[in-house]
Amino acid sequence: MLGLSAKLYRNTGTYGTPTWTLVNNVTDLTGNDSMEEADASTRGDGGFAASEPTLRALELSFGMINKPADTDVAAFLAAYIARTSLDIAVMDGLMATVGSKGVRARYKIHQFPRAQELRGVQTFDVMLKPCVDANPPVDMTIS
Amino acid sequence: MLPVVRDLYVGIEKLKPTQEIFVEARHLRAVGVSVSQEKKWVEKDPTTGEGDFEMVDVPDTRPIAIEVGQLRAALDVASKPVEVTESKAAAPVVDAP
Repeated sequence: MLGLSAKLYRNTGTYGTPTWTLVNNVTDLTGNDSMEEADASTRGDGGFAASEPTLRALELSFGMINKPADTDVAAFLAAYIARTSLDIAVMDGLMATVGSKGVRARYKIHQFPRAQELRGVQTFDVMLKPCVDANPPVDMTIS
Repeated sequence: MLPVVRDLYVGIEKLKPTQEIFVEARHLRAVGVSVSQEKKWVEKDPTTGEGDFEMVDVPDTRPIAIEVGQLRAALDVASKPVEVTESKAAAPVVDAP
């Protein structure tokens, strides 16, 4: 699957009745997904270290081009300044396509640095992490 | 107003009428938007592996693409109060003082 086939969606409605909008102003995106580990080594492991996965940690990083009229840039910037959460779904394809997979979570923006290179366009490098919420992250599969 | 109507109004409040959004099929049906019920073939018992299939309904949680303007029009219809016409026969009987 091509990276450009992947989609980022923002829910502008409530959690229970979502209205997903496609966020097109996205350059490269990295969705870190890793398990923290607990040392579970014992004498019975033959002298090898053994570990078990514990907490699953998500982190989302992507770039946005600074477009004054873009409602998504405005929404992300407003959420960053106000420290409010955004309901985001990172999918490997269109949400309306059966078989598309992804992760949905409520994130807060932790970093929103601006890049203003002389020979480039103005960009934002957005970094989000799941926040405390009544609805924890979920894996999504469109069936 | 139904909660689903209210929630969908909230969702499209700041969106342009031409913007495409994705709403779950069950929520669109609840506000009167016609959505076809798709079906798919699934294995009856995956453990047997004998290729015995049956046709089932696709889950209603599948998001469907719709324009904000279309959804707003459906919500306007769904949120209209229903007119109730009282007939004389159904009028409550009041005892004379």
